[in-house]
Amino acid sequence: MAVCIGFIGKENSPLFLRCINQSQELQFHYIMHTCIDFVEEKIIQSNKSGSDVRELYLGLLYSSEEVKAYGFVTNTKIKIVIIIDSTNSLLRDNEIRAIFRKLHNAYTELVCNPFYTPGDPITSKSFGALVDELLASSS
Amino acid sequence: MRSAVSAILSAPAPESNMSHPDYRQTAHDHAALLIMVRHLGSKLNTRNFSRLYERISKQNSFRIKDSSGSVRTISARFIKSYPIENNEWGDFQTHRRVLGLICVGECTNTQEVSELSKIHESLRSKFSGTLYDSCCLFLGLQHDGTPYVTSAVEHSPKEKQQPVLSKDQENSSISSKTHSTQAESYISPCSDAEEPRSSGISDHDSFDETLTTTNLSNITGKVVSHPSRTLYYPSLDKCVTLETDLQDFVSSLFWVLESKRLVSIGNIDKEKQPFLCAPFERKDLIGMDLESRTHRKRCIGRWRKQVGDLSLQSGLIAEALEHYQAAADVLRPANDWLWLAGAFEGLCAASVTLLYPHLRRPAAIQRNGSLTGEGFNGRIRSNSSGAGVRSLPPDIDTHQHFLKNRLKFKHALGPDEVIEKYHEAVVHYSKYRNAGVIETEASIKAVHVLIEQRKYLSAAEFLQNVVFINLHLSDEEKIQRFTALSELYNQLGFKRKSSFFRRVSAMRCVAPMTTLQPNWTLCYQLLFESISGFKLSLDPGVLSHEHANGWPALQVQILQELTGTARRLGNVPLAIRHASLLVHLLLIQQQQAGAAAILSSQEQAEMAKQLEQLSQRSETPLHPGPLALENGTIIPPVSLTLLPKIVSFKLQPPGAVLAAQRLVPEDEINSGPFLFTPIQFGSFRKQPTRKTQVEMDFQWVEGDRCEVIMQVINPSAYELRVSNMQLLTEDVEFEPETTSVILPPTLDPKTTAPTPVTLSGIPRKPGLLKIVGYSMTVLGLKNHCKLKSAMPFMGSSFFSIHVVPALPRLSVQIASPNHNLITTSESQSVSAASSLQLYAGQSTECSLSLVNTSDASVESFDLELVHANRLSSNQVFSVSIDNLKAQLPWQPGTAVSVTVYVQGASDFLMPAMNDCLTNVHSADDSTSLPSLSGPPSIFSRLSSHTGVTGSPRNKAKRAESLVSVRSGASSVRSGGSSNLRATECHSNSHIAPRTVAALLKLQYSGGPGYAAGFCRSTSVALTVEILPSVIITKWDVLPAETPSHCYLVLDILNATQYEMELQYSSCKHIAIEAQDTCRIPVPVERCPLVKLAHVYTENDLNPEQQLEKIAKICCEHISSLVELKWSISGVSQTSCTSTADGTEYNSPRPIKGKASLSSLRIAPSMLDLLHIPPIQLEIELNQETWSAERAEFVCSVGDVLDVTVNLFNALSKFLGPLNLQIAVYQDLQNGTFHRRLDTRLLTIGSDRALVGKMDPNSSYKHNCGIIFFTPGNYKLDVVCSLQISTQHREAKFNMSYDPIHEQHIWKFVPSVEIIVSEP
Amino acid sequence: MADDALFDFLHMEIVSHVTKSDAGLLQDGDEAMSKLEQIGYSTGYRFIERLTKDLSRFKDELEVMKAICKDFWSAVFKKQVDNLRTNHQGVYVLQDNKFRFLASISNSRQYLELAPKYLVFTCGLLRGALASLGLTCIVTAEVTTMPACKFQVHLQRA
Repeated sequence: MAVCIGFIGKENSPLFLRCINQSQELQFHYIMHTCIDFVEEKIIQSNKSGSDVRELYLGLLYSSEEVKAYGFVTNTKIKIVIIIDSTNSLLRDNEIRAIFRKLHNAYTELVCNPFYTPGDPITSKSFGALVDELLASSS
Repeated sequence: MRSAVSAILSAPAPESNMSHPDYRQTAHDHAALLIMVRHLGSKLNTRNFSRLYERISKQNSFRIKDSSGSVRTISARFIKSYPIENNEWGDFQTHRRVLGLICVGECTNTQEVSELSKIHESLRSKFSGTLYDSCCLFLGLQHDGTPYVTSAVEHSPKEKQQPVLSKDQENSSISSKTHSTQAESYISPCSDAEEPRSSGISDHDSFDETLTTTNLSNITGKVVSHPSRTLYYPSLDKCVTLETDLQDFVSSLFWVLESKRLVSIGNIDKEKQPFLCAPFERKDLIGMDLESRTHRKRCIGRWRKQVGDLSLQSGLIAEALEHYQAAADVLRPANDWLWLAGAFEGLCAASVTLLYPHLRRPAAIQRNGSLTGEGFNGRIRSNSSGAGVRSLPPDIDTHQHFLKNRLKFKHALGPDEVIEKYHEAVVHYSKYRNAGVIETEASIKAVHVLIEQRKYLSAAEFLQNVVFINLHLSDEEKIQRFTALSELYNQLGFKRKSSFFRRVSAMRCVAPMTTLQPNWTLCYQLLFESISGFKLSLDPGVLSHEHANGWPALQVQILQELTGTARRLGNVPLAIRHASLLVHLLLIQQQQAGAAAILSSQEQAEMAKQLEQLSQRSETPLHPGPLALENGTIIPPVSLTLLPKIVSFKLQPPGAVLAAQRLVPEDEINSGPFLFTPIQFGSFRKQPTRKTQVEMDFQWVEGDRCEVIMQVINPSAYELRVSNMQLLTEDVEFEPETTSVILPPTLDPKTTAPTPVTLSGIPRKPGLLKIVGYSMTVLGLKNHCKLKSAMPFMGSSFFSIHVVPALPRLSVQIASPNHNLITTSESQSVSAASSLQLYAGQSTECSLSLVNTSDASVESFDLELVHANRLSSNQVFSVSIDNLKAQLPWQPGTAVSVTVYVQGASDFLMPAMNDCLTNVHSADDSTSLPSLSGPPSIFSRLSSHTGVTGSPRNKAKRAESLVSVRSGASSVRSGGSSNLRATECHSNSHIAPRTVAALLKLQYSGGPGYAAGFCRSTSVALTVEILPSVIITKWDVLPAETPSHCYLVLDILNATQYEMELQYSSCKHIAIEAQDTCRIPVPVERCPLVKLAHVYTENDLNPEQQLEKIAKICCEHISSLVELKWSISGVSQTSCTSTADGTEYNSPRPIKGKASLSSLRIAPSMLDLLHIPPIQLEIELNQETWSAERAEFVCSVGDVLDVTVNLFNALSKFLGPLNLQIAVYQDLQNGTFHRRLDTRLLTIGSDRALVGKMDPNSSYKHNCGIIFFTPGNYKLDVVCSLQISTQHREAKFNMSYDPIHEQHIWKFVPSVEIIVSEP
Repeated sequence: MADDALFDFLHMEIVSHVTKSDAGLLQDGDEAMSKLEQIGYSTGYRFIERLTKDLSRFKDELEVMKAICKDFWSAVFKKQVDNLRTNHQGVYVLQDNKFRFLASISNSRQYLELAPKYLVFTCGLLRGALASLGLTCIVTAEVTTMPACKFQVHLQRA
């Protein structure tokens, strides 16, 4: 079950972070933050080594006893991270992909909102609602 | 990698597992001889020791000829300390054994030597299990052991003490072949086993058998109790032979090792090898079937592996590989996972030494500082690949390297295989809880290799695995572990991860559950190292730009932790620094949308409060400069430039009154009283945004208070007390004044308006003043806010403004006698303004008092009247300052006063006079008829006069009096109407007072400013409201009783609200009610001919001009004669005077004024009466000259009255044509005249004469007679009229229908009265 | 097709609006240009987000440029760039032989001096799109004969 979803900007600044229970928020901030290292490395690797893994989905970034973090990066270097509770691995890879796709769509919609300037933290309520929904549905 | 089986396969109670992971171990260390270097005694200070240690450990690779004559490369690893537990794992991996021990001490005499030797011995015995050799290294003694400084006397005791050594001394000469270099510095352990070996170096053939036989026992025997050797050096920098000694020491170790290796090799094929096992395996031996095949296999396999270890250490990589491979092959089927893993690791280690030979050195260098956090400097990827020694990318290079090797070493692994094997090894280790340390170390070795291969992700995986290995560690070790992880992540370039672990370990230092008491210093250090990973800079300047990439939540967190730690450390200033940065950061974040959500506003308030408390706690006020820590790190200053937030920063020009201006203004626009108009301010305001270096267009004046107005906003939701704010300036001496402001909490940032704050100060020297910022104390902290950081949008780092030398200043006050003092306002351009009320014709004076309030003397002064409204206010105001100028210079404190005379000038006519006049014209004099209510005498005269001097219309039918009467009647109507109009035109406009404004512009200067060509200008605005007092609504001129005089008849309107006393001639008074009109006749001397004779004589004038001239002259004439003095009393304007008993009473003072007639416009017809005519008439009745003095002339019915008229032309110019006529009529005393007297009298001769022209000064006589038939009162008029001369006729407009017209009509006044009586 | 004409008209109007609003002084003219460029920039910046949604991840800048020439250009101008050239030092030249915004203006040198303000928006569009894809650059346009047009993209290597 997904416990936290985060959007990270081009310059790796946090755009948006939403998790199921607020008490853990800071902890998730830390995890997300460290995930950036993996994301960046993955991008570098996949670009450098002739590997033709060209999908935006980066797969598993990080896993510990408690949580697994999956990554996704758009062509515009917007990173999306989903953290799921590793105690129950209900979610399959393709399910995660699906969530990412939804999130990506949501983001592209958001960018069309004149009141959102790209790069700023995301405050749009509708966007937040959508993410919450995804969190709820996936858990 | 973790597998669930781990628990099953490993013993539960780990009493003897080695619990000291060595995070700095690399694959290369497998091949190294472990040598411990210990620091003995206190004499040798640590610095020297470490210097020595550096020197020793620098030399970590030795080339040694082996028995076969081939050179082996032996590497050594030096360590300062080594936990004995790790030693126990020596069987599992031989490179964990401490093989050599070097004790370093300093001593000056022999007993010290012995003491240190004792310690050395104890150490030796501690590690005796593994030690091959050891030596002491004493500084401060001669090479021969004699004290370095003292004489040779003290040899003897030492000799006694150590007989062994002395004995050994001589037969050391045998081995001197090899050790000749350091013969004396080193005492041979004289083992007879060494002899054949040393000789064996010379001849190989004898070598093998000697070794294989007896020597083995000897060697082992030697290992158990090998004697120690001692090296003496005079001092640290005098131990030239150290390296060679070291070489020797290592080689001795090598030989032992080599022999052991050979022995082990020998054992391989033997039936019985000892069953080697890791420490925790020992107790499992009980009950183990020692005869089983698997056990047998294990024995062999493990032994094989150890041989591999030994060969690797002794520099035989090929063999090592071979043995490892063999071991692996044996152990795998035997399911001996631990040792299999060991074998794999061995393989890897061997292969790595082949693949990445360069790895060792940088690693060695890296080791030194890696834990002290100094090595925490960015990604080390670049130098992880051999400090950029090799240009080629590692993978390619190593690949070739590898292919090369494959030929030599067939078992060597390729780069990827190495990783596989490591992986496998780790997996196997992980099955044993007690092998946790081994596993950890293996993983880390793998990581090092992966870093080299630039496979950071898989490296990260290994590290991740390390995190999961749960070891039973003490808290220090845990901290150490996290720090090591952080370090490794940093090497991966995983900054964030690295910082994460830094922080974790930091938290560990002070975790409540720890057994050791919290170590705040370390905690702080670690936290401090971690901030970079959070993209957090302690420099607010950098922060405001780059924090965006960081994670606000985490930054806030870390800052809070830093603050807390610093406080626990008792370093309040540091805590304050961090706290204020935190507050600053929060404010920066608040500016980003949404970022404010990190902390709620009251949490922010908390932070602020916390900071405030801190700042109160700091006994000494924290100076806002950079802050240096003990370890030399500098904490940059944090100024709360956002608390409050500066919206605008404007230098204020001095009030125009105080503004300095050039004495000679370069362009006229700038001069003048309104130098600084708001519009120009506007232009100033814009400039800062545009220019980078902002220079003001106005000047400040030395010694004057100057102001800067800041617009500030309180960005926070808590009340903000900003105290002692003051300007920061440069270049010119400036004396700032401090201000304070309290800003209420901001609830809605959008709606809050900025609060203006005025920062003022006094420049003390002239020059170009730079304003670079401001300082203030907020939350108890002193801040220096530079403009460039406080308001980057300004685009400039400072404002600069010229300060001109000091100028004097005058305070201006204006007072007028009967008006109370007028406000003196410095702010705007007008320093004082006076407004007073006057009645037209009234006059008063205001006194303008100037006081030199400055301490410079006024040296130049000028004053000019600037008339605001062009209306001739110079009639109204007048001032003279000549006497003032005489008094210059005015010393400080002197007061002078200027008197301004104010005159209520007015024309005293109806405002809408023009149209009234015109209608007077049209209706001619007769208008005045009905309205006139003068004495009858005038009335009759006037009427008669009218009859004659009618308008051309009347004139034409002059003969028929009926007509004339009718005309009179008609004229009454017209008069009435005109009168009406007159009333209405004054009713609607007489109230309107007139205001006249003028500006007194004063310009003065003095002192140094004067020399510099500057001055000040101030101005006083004067406005006078002139109320109408006397208004002349209508006027007329009537003949008087004597030809020399005439009457000026005026209708005077009292336009005031009060009763008016009017004096219109020397003796005549009249009181007029408010708003009442009354008619006054003013006797006036007729204008003498001399005044206007020239008008007649000038012949180039057309009649109109002539008339105008005459009118003008006459007007001056009367205005000079007539003066209407009016006075009104009971006006509210009163002056209060207090009597002795204090009771006040108002004494009404009458207001007096004069009305002049200067602006009267006089109708042409009036003129002829107003001045003495140029043609003088003289009448003789019965040959007696008639004069006005005579009352009347009496004659009787039937007599002939002889009338003779003499005309005399008084001019020096001919006149004509003249028309003279004599008319008799009866005045019926009721306003009508009876002119048809044909039945009553008879005229003999003609009653008229036409004189063509009269030469100058010539005279003309006309004669006729009159016979009266009936008695009664008759009147006789003689009128002489000047015809329009022909050349002007066409010029006249309304003459078309009437051929004849008079230009002037002169009448003999007064008319003659004739009383005819009965005979 | 009326629908894409709509885009042309809108562009026309924007240009005229911006340039007219401060046609006063010369530097104001520049201001207008930069304003147009800004409009283009933010448009491109947002637009690319949507456009690349379903494309696979770009490997290097060349791929990005290709995507710009193909997908981006045809999405905006209903045609692809006719020619892409590069010096492999971060300079790319995109040539469009019938640039949409110029096509309707002239097919000769007529109005040549007026062409620039009809290119600025597109320059901004390019710059924005590339910036959003993580390539900071300077974009300049040049026209010799309308309606052909060259856009030169000069990447700023960090």
